[in-house]
Amino acid sequence: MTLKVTLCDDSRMARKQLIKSLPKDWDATVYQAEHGEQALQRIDNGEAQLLLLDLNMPVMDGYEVLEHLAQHERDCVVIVISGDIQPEAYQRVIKLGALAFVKKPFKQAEIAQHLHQFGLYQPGSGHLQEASEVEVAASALDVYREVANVAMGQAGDHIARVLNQFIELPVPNVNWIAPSELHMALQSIDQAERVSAVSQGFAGSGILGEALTLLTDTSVEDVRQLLGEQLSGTEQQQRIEALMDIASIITSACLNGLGHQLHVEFTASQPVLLGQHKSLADLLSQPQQRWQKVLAIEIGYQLPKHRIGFDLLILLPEDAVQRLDQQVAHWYAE
Amino acid sequence: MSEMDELHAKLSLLGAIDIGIVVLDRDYRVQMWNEFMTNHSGLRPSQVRDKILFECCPEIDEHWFRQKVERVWNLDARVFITWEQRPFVFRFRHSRPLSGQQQWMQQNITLMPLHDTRGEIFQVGLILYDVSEQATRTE
Repeated sequence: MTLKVTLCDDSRMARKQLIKSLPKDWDATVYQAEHGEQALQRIDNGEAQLLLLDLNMPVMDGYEVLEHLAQHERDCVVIVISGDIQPEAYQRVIKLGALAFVKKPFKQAEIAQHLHQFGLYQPGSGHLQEASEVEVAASALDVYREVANVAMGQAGDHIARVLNQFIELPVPNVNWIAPSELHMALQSIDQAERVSAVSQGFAGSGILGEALTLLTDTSVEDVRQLLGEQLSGTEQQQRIEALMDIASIITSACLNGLGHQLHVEFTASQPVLLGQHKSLADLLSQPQQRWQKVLAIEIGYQLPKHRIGFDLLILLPEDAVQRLDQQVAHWYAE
Repeated sequence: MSEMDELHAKLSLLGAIDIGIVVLDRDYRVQMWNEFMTNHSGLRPSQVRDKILFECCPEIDEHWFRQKVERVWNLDARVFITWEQRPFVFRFRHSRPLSGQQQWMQQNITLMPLHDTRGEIFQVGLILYDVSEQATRTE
């Protein structure tokens, strides 16, 4: 009997990629959902005997879907596919009843292996079909969103290992903004708070950009205490070291992740302390308007057990994005 | 130009460059020590080769420095040390001993993984920048 499968991911590109990597000779019909709520709807409609589920999504995330399924008896099994590669994410998901956890980026054969392992797929059993739906073409922004999503997971894992803490991963915001609106791109930092920031320039294949790491003053102090004896010097020096450490770890890991997927080797320059104890508006005021618009990838990490939050802002000026667009064009053009 | 000439030219460049370059193996033994490091420390490459870094430069805060280098090995990523958090790692005299504002050279350091042909990290490279002028201006 034809298996009904729903793919749930907020990124259109990610869903497209996933469909491409499903076995063609699988007797299954594929439905799509953009977030957890839509996925639950699909389940209620009987369109998801198998749910391939992303974790970090707006409206309702993957954990909430799993919690809902754990509470309500449903004829639905779940395989999680996520860029959150922290061991704790894996454990949480399995505890909530998921069959398996596939890390993004996955290899094409991986999905079929899992499906086969759980008896969901027999080679040559039929034909893969997509439920007819109006499919809007994915855009370059979708590509960047998904690429940022995977890179964010790798950076989160590095920070989690250094701080020995579970990091809550957000949905990255990817948007075109005017440089004067920079402070508005930071949705996870309260505009009234005092913040400190570190900047690192990066370059690869002629693509130049800048990565800003921002922490509120209370977060800097909390990170300083978490790192404890790893730091040295006066309290002020320790705060700078904590800030520099966080900044260079997430920037390096994120650029690595982005570069790996985009086939560009990015190298970050020495971090520069942009400022401490300032308001966001002061810190990000740019006297020189060299660019009309920049592509901003905003990633706001949270440590749920502490009051720590930090923001990574990856900024690419227009000319850098033009080069990148050429690099990724084949991803969404059919 | 022969391959030897080319290599020689490259090595002279590496020697003349105004940046410190050190390569450490997994046990913190010095595998490379360029002329900048020799000129400022007074230690010749033959004196440090295969010796443990902390024996050659006892001024380094070993416990702290190891944590930074281990992070390169663990995360396979660059680690940065800036003068703002720690004015210097190697105790070198200011490059202008008379008119320089500080007694010691202020340093920014980049620690980076070095990969073998299979892409596995097998050494750690240390790049040392003299940022005394910048530090003086900011203070």
